[in-house]
Amino acid sequence: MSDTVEPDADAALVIEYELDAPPEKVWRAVTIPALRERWLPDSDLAGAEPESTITGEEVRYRLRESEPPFRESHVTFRIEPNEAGGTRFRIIQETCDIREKQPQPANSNRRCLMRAA
Amino acid sequence: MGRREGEFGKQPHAKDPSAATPRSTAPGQLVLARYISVCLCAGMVDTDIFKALADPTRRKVFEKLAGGSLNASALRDGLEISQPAMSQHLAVLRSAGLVREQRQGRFVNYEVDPDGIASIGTWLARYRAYWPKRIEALSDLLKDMDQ
Repeated sequence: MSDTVEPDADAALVIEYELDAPPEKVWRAVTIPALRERWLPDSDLAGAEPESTITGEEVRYRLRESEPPFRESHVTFRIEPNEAGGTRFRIIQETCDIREKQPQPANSNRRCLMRAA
Repeated sequence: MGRREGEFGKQPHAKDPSAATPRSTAPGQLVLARYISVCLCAGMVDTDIFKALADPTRRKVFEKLAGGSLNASALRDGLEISQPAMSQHLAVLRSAGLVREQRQGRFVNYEVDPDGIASIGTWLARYRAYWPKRIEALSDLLKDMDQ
């Protein structure tokens, strides 16, 4: 069993959109905080700063649900030109493993909670 | 939700909200805190599911089971994987609540656990509904922006 997970391997949700605007313009809308706030509000993010950026191509934010259970996830926006002069806009959302750094108790009753969900 | 809260409710609580002294937490806050902790547990289970399905072999196993229940050797057919490795993968899928086993005498069959699927569905449904609204707002913004 391999425990190594490739960066893209646990993508949970991938959605692709075609936008009319050119990539440079989309890039500004996604990365300039005042513009980003107008379509992706701070209240939906765990932090207003991107987690990582590849200029012009890719930016990654950490999302937080605005109501309980406040689950966090990473979202990557990939921007590339499409054939129509617009932008192919890809949303890749992955869950965060919040238990990654914690030892797991052998007598955990998480499964019981799962059953009740 | 009701059942989960019930399970927590069974545990004896040092600070019984009904017997709250002026200095202790307000009953409303206590109830809210309990609600949040219960939901965080449910959130961790969701994470387990995605971790379990992050492995390509486990995804294949899970997909095979989606076609109907199978025993361990039928599951291994077509997959280059040892019997101990298969048991490990099945254990991970089971602890994530994605797969359950059915014993019939000496034989064990594995099948998809409907509760696990429901949990994936909830998370995906939430964000499937979320992104179209955000993209609509982004498109409006792009129209408003100068070149």
